[in-house]
Amino acid sequence: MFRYFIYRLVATIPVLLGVSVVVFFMLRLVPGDPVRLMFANQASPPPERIEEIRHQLGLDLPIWRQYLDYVTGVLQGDFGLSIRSRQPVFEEIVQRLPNTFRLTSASLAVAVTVGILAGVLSAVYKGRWIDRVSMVVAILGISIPSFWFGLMIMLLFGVRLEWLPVSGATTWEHLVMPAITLGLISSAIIARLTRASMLEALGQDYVRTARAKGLSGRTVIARHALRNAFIPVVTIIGLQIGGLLSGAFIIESVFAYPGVGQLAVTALQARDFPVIQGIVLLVAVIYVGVNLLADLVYGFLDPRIQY
Amino acid sequence: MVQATGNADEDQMPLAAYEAQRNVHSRSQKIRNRILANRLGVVGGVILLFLLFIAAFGPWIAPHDPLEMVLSDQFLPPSREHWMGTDDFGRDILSRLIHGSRQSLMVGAVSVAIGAIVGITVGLLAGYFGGVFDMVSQRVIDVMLAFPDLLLALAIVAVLGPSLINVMIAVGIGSIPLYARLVRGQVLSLKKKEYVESAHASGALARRIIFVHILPNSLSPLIVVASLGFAGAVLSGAALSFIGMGAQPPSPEWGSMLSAGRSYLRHEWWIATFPGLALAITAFGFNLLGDGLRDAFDPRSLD
Repeated sequence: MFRYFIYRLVATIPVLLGVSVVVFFMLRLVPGDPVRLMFANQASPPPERIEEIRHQLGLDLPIWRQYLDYVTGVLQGDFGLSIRSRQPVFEEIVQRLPNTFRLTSASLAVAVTVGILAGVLSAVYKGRWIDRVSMVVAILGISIPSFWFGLMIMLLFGVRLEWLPVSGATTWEHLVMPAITLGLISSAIIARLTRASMLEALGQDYVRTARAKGLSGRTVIARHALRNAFIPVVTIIGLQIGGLLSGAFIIESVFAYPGVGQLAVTALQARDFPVIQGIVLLVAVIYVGVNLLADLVYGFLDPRIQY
Repeated sequence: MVQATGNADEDQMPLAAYEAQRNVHSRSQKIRNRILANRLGVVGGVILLFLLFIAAFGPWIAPHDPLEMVLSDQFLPPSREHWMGTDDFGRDILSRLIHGSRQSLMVGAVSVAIGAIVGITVGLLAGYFGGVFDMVSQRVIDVMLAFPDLLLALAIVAVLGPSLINVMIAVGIGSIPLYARLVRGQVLSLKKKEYVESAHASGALARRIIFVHILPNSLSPLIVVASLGFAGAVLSGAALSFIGMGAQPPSPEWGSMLSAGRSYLRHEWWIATFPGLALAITAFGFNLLGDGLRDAFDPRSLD
């Protein structure tokens, strides 16, 4: 177990390095000069001023030095300055991070509850109406564009019925619609996987044995089948957190929810690269961390995994 | 398959060939029956045929010009003249949707093509030859997979700049790991099959083994992934257009139409409602088809 932990931890180092290289080169690959990009909305400054800024930003250094400086900066929480607001990018992100965490955790709670419940019920009542209905709804769930779904429930519950606030993030009620919208796709994916995994577990010998021993159906499902069916579900939940974080980009801007995603979309539209880079880097690092955690839980749940 | 057995053992060739032929025949028949038996899959197929028809004959079907602005017809609710109403510029929404179907299908097709062609090539080479290329490509894919879902596409579009073509490229690149991992896994398991080993032993070239023995046998999971991926690509493309990084006005692309309709949600609900419905139906069709194909191809359900 400990060796497995170390192995997985070491394996993430090259991935994180790769991520930092990709994010570092984002700005360098943009057609045109990064300094001119900063003045995109203003009259171009004189050439000597541009040279001065290039020097200040270290853009006249060899590329490997720039990369090293970038990584050292990032490790110290220095993500550069936003082109738009001239504020430190790190602070702008950190200010909004709690909102996004709140939203993604609420969506995850929705997705896990709905997904596992629907998946288990569908597997236990395979072929019956509850299975058919939830599986068609699940396909619908991955087909409906979530930003459109968000607008539609906003129209119904926010505008027409006036049950819930349509935008902002001041009370818990502001969280209801964005969380359901964002959790929609993930609940569908989790439901489908739970059903498949549960059906497989229900067909195993140990479940038959448990039934033959005369255990009640409920005990067999909860103690024997569900436990084993959970193992792949844990991994997919880890992957879903990534989906939720990147889905939040779109959904936060639908509901004018002041999170990191909304900041990212505004930055994208303004081509504010330091902010985009910072958010992309942060989300990727969080995602890698969550998957590492999911793998460790997986190793913990399934004692067969050994390294 | 026939060739391989034949080369390995001349005497048994007729019987082996016959067996193989019979198996292939009954297998494809079984698959066909299964596709037709899967009602939802058929529904998906019908939706797709309908969409293809609309995209192909759009200009002749559409009742109005998708770009023509008639300012006296602004914000008309759905009526007999304008089935889905008109938008803020007095353009007929139904006609715009019909024309926009081409863009959405194009986003799906081009993204899937980019992802599949690059992904399959990398997966085949990595799986078959292994070695340094395998090692390097797998590490690159690991890094790509560190960016969840839309994030990689968003980063690429940020670099390339907003346009529908760039969205297709970005979504396509984002889906490369999916195909590469799938094909690599297939190659690794097929490489150990007897018919591939015997083809290798009989001196077949790597190119021949890959194209005759390995690729055709990994087709069914690829078709399933491509069908589901098509739905995902259409939705991702629309999402990027929705936040203004894809198609630009006045293009009748569904995601940007939806985005334009947002501001009028309160009173002119039809402007944002119908493009979203069109997107949902398209993705639903491809997802149903992909699911149906998966069930039909599943070897466990064939035996």
